[in-house]
Amino acid sequence: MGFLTLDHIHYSYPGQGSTVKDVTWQIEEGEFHCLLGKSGCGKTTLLKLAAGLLKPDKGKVYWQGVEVFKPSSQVGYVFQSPTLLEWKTVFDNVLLPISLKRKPNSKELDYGETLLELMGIISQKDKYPTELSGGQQSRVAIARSLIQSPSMLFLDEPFAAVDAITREELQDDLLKLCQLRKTTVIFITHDITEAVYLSDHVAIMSGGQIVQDYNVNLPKERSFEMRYDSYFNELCLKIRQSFSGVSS
Amino acid sequence: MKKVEYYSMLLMLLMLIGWELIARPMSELVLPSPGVVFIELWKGVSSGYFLPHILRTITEIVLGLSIGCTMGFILGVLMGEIDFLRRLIFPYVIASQAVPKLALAPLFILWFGFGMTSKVVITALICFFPLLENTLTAIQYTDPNKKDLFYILGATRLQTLIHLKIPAGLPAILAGFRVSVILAVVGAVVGEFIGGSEGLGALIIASQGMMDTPLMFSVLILLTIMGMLLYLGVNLIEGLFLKTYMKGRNK
Ligand SMILES: Nc1ncnc2c1ncn2[C@@H]1O[C@H](COP(=O)(O)OP(=O)(O)O)[C@@H](O)[C@H]1O
Ligand SMILES: [Mg+2]
Repeated sequence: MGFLTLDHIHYSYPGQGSTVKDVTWQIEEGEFHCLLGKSGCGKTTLLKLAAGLLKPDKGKVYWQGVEVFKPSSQVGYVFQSPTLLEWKTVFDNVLLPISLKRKPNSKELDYGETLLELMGIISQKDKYPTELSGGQQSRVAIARSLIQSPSMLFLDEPFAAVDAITREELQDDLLKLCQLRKTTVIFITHDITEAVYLSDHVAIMSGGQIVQDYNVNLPKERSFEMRYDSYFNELCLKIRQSFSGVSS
Repeated sequence: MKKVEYYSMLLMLLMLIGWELIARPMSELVLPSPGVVFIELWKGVSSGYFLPHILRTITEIVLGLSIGCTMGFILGVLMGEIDFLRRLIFPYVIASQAVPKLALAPLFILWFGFGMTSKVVITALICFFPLLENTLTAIQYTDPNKKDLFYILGATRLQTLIHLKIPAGLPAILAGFRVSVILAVVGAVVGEFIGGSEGLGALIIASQGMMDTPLMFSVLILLTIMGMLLYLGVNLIEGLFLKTYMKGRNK
């Protein structure tokens, strides 16, 4: 049994047809999975099911062999919208997961600053979310998901609002951080190159199902040049083609 | 900005001149001229005649407002949190909304006497509903993503209420408070109309009985000033609480 296992999951919102249909998905410890698909195909719903935020109508979710009934506090989750608390400063937002339980200690305060630095928003530390751009807000949300050093990360299009150059930097930082801590990641994106660059496995979702799962055979240590490598581009092309095959 | 304020002052001057021109040929009993009213106002203020009445009305407003808003807030939070309670009470809340509450004033005077209690009860009842409704709505419709976030973070129900639902609903709750403050003045004054010998409302009725129109006008001016000060106070409170919510938005 894997680290996180989805076993024949079904889900439909009240009064609607099935949004997620019979998804079986196995994720091993330390793996980086991308979930790729057009908008509305059910990616967010599947991620919420995997995290335990939604309960499947049929099928089960297992976390290290134990059935999941509610979200574990060992996970980090980044919602599709930044979901920051407008009445708290950027720094207090990042520390929220800890301050809900107790007063953060000096080590945690330091780590919060390190994360803000990594995300390139340390100068915004004492500002309020409404004073930040969309991309900066997303980065606050990512820092918040990382503050407790979770063993599993769920990221729902975290870089969607970030400009292309910053995004490449953030991708490298995220990869480094996850490799250092052996974090298991599910990352939703609609960008094929982003998916291939980041992940070990790319799952293609369409119409509520995972229709294909590609292995990415690139060295763990990613570098800028790989984006122009022939294997990289062939894989992107293959994925792109499988998409048009699926949708027609 | 400066220019608008200048014109605003000019408009006031024009209105005063208009008032004077219209009032000059009329009897003081129907429309006293501004000069007469201001002399009356000054006499009342400097001799201390108005002071107990002003204090009385303000006390009623403050007491009624605090009691009504506190109860409205607490019941709103409870109803927003406890589904059973909401479904149990909500039909009655709607029904009692439909009752014109000022029409209940004579009944309260019957029950609580001519003293201050009846006016405080009327004021509190009127202030209660805007706060109840806005708090209930705010608590019920917290952003589902934020609720999911607190769920993932393992927050307890009380933590979610205190650290998420109430602060997130604060703008809506304060909007309800603004309505309550305006209604509080109406409640206290109407209560005083119906029974009582003290307070600015009672003074208006008394001046009507004595056919002292200049006195009535000076009391109306006092009430207007009081209302404006209260409104200013609400703005200050809002500014204090909502500072961070608004940052960057009103630039
Ligand atoms: N809270 C909800 N209530 C009802 N329907 C929803 C809700 N969230 C999503 N849906 C529907 O489920 C489908 C899949 O949505 P979603 O999982 O958000 O897709 P994606 O993340 O791939 O864009 C969409 O058709 C959407 O309309
Ligand atoms: Mg989505």
